[in-house]
Formats: sequence, C-alpha cells, structure tokens
Amino acid sequence: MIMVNATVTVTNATGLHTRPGTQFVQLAQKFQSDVVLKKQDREANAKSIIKVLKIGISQGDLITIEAAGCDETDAVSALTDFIRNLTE
Amino acid sequence: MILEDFVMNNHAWALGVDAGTCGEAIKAGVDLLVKAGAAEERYYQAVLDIKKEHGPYYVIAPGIAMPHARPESGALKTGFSLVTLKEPVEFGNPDNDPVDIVLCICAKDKNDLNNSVIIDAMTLLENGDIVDELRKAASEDDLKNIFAQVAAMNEQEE
Repeated sequence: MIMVNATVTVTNATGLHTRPGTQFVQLAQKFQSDVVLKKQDREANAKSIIKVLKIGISQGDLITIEAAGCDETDAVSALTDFIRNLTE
Repeated sequence: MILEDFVMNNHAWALGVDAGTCGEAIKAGVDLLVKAGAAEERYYQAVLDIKKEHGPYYVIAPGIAMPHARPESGALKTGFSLVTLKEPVEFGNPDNDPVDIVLCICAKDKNDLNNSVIIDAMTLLENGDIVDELRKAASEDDLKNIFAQVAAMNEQEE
C-alpha cells in the first residue's frame, strides 16, 4: 500500500476548532483509508475529533494530511479542499 | 494542567447532578463558571443560542458534551467546569446522545480557546478508562485521583 499526502495552510480565522473540526472528522470517516493529520511533530487520527482537537490547529498552521488505503487519493483531495474552503 | 487547577481550586465541579433536560445540564455547568468568575451570566444564553444556531455539535464523543460559546459572549477568562449527571439527558446529537458528562469551557479569546483550553479538555477526555472513572466519580478524592492518572499518562507521552 502506498501513501498519499498533501500539505495545506489553515487560513480561516478560527482554525480547526470544534465545529469545523467535527465536520472535518465526519468527512474523514467517509473514507476507508487510514487518515492522519500532522502539525509539526504532532499527529492525530483524523477520524477522532478528540485527537484532532488535541493537536490544536489554528489560523496560519501548516498541516499535512496523510492517507493510506484504497481511497487515499480521494481522501486527501477532499480533506485538503475542506481545509482550503473553510471561511469561519 | 490548567483544567485541573481551575476545576479543583475553584470547586468548579459537581457530581451526580439531577438534570431533567440538556438546558438544566448546561446551566449547572455555566453556573459553576460564573461562580468561579470566569464568565458572566449571559454566557448561558449564548451557549443555548449557539446550539440553536449550529446544533449540538459540541457533543464530541458518546455521552460527552463540551458546551461553549464565543469568547465575546460573556467569557471573562479561561475557565472549565466539570459536571456529571445522575441520569443522562438528550442533547439532540444522534451519534453521541445521551450525555452524562458535561465539560463547560470558556476563554477570553479564540486563540486561548483553541490552543490551550480545548487541548486540556481533550487531554482529560481522550482516554476511555479515564472517562469511565469520571462517570463513577463520587467525591473530591475521586477527582484528584483521576487527574493524577491523567498527569501520569501525559508525562509518559512526553
């Protein structure tokens, strides 16, 4: 199994706080691939809101979304789009 | 952990609370924030309004709610309150209802909320065994013991 990743900057004002964080996790859960969210040396299972909120993602943070599995390309593309399109 | 210090030093906790509705459960939590000087009374209405506007998205895991509102809606400083319920109540979140642990949070600005308050809250709630113990906690000593376990786990991680 290969792995796909992409790095994206969080630009919306409040970052990946509880509400967009929950939406992000729900989107990640739609994919079968394992998805990991990384910020510097911290990483979280992107399908767990508790883990995602614990790494604390704010405006200006550079994050990497990494997926491995049968739908890894779609997962990375959908999740990076989600981050890019956050407006709150 | 700031959460532990705040909750224990301000007695911002209540165990086995009798709440008939999610509104009463939230009120129990926000009242503790107000009593501790972390939020104004209007913060309660703001928390209810957020739920009306966006739904109960802050029911983040089975049985666990983390009610909060925007910093400008009456938050005075960083604060936490921990309430467990005698009987679980419905918040209207089909994935994670019913709720019996209510952790209310507030912070003076959104960066504090995201970068320290929520991270502390998740540190407490990320381990299933700890959450089970919280549900069973009946005394201040039980809480102290739980916080000590959380601290030990995080030392191991780092």
